[in-house]
Amino acid sequence: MNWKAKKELCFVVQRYGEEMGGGAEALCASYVERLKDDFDITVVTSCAKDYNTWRNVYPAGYETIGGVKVHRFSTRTERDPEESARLTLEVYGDQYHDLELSAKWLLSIGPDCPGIIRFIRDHEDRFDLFIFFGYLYYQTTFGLPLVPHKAVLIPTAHDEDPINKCNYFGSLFNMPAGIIYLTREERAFVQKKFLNGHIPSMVAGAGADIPDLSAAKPDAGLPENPYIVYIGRIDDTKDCSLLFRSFIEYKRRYKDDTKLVLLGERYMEIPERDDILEMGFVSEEQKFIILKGAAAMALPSKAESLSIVTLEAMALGVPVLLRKSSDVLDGHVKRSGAGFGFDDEADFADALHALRADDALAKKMGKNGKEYIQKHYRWDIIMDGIKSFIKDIMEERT
Amino acid sequence: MGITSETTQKRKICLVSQRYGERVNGGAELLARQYAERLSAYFDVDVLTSCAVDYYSWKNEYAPGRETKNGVTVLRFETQEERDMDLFGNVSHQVYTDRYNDMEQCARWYKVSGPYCPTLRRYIMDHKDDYIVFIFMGYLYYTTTICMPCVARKAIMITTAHDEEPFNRVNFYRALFRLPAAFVFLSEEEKNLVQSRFHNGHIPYVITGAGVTLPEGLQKDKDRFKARYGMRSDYIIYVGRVDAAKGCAELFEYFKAYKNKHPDDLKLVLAGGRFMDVPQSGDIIELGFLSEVEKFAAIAGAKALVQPSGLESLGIVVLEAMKLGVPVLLNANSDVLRGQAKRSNAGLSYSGKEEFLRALHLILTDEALAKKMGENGIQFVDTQYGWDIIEQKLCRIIDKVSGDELEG
Repeated sequence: MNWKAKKELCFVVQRYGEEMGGGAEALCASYVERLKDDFDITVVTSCAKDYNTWRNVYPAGYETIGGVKVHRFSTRTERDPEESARLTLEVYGDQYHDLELSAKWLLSIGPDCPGIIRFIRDHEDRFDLFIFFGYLYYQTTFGLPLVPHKAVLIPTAHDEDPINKCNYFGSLFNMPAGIIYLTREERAFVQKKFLNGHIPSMVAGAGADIPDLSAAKPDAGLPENPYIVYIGRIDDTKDCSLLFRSFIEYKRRYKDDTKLVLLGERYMEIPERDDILEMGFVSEEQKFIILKGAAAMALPSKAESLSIVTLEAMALGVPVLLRKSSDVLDGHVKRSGAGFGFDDEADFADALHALRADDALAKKMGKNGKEYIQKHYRWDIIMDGIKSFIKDIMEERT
Repeated sequence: MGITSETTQKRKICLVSQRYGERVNGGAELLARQYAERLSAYFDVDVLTSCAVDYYSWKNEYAPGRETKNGVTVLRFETQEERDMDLFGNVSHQVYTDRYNDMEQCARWYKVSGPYCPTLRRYIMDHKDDYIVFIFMGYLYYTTTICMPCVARKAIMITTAHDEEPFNRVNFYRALFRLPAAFVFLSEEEKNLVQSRFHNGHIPYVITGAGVTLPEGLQKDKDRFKARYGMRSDYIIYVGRVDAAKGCAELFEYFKAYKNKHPDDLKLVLAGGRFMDVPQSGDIIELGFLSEVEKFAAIAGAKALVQPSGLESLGIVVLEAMKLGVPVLLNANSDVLRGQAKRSNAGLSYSGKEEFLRALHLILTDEALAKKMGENGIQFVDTQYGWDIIEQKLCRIIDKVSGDELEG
């Protein structure tokens, strides 16, 4: 047997880098950082920064980031939004579409990065395990079927069109050697849909990383209390328009001085009002300072597979207002008692009013959130679970 | 008296095969028919298949629609495009020579391999819930590659796999062989081949094979056969497609060498459709495609049955010869055949010309040995390949898959 000091893992992800937003990408970096002492890790990724175009920004080739080997491959073609939209219509419009059309569509979603596929094929014997991040993008849809017996999939899936409409996913979710889900809801959703309960799986999640804020200095121009905060892409696919309508409804009813603060890149129109403050991108430290000072953190998105920002808010003792029709967020609210769920303007207005009017309630919810994170989202416990899962998968194969 | 329609109603299963019917030849297709008919004693069996008779053009020859045959309901779907052999050759070449062939290329290859029957696939998608399991015949064709994933958790795949180019080079098979809920393998060797290549030992399986049922009145048939074809000399027989891909070119070469060394009146009889040139020689007798009755009679009268193919997943005709007490001469390059020779002691396996010559000579000259081999063959088939044993294995795996599916 080939003796190696450490088992070799290959992490496969669509984008990778320090200033990368995005749930799966951030998660990948977190896991890599926390596994690099136990395993010999190589990250395989594209040269892209932006997932709308997949334009090559980073140079192709090797670099070392945080002591980890990163191998970047350039995208062959940028995403063609028109072609992709045309194929999307074709796939969504025909429940009988076949593997060929699925393949064309998934290729159009990209990143069209055949170097990743070649790397996987050429190094299938070298790595003990390949860890694929995200279920939707090319590196997983095309790469995983080359090494299914050595593949762990971290799908970060939720109830959305691609997973519901593209027939190929029935196969993809049934082939890997193991699956790591981020929440119980994600696992229940996937297993019900694809009947893949026979595949070894675990629910991992992520911890909340709160930097030490004791010495942090707030920047000038910080919002004045009281305010609630939204953190993330400001985009209608995240249902931000529901948030705006709901906030305006609250203000119409209660006419107080609460503001809505928005942190993140803007992809849609934002109502022009004095009580809605758009702050764009801020540093991680500033983000935490703003979050800590908020009366509540609001998240209107239906499509969340874990929501790190929810965990961060809870860790800071900030009550949360989360979308009820996201099973994941609803699960967080119900299990933690750290806030309220909402699905429409009235729900939202009632909930925010309850928090603003009842200080003891807000405090209690903040405390519940802290306890919930302490209990379920501690990095040491999560990483121990992942390590032993990975070990089991490797042993099962031999 | 307390018997309700539920207790008398058989559960429904579906078998999917690229071709099906009496006009169709081919080992896997015959097996599909035997399994479907045998299983109809336990289940309500629907067969989904194309309208094709041959597997190179997939031309629609049977009428589409529904018919009931020997207790089995057959639903035929038209192939939408005949196989374009040039296109198939090009796509195959592209896939086989590109070690990075990806999902899109494989999807294309599956489609041009055919039989391209999208309406069959649509039927499966629309009737998932009507059947407790779907049994897919073979790993190679559209009816499995593109249709099986639609119902993977209810799918039992009879792989009939061997070590050949598609199996080794079409990358997407790595995914496909992890999907079904269970496998049926036809031999121990086939199981080993599939599991070692695809690391899918966790998927439940049974090893079956095919039973052999001899026609009645065989002795009379034998005499009639000899009279009809004027067979006076001793002969050895090859039954199957006369095709270089089946090792027939080698067989002709070896047989000629044997005749040079032992110039007696031994003949080589070929029973099967011809797909290659056959040497002009008074020693080689071509009978073409024979009826089942004539085939058994022809084998029964032979001194030995030879199987030169290196690519056999079971070798049904070998079992038939054994059941008839006829010694078998098998290509040792096929793991399956070598294993069968070793397990049964019903004949000899050979690797290369010299071994062929020696083995054939031994069988023809040592009568006591030949007789013993014949007896061993009968015993081997009766104990290992009784239909009742095979039926039980099939029922067991069907129950397992339908039970798991209910729980899952």
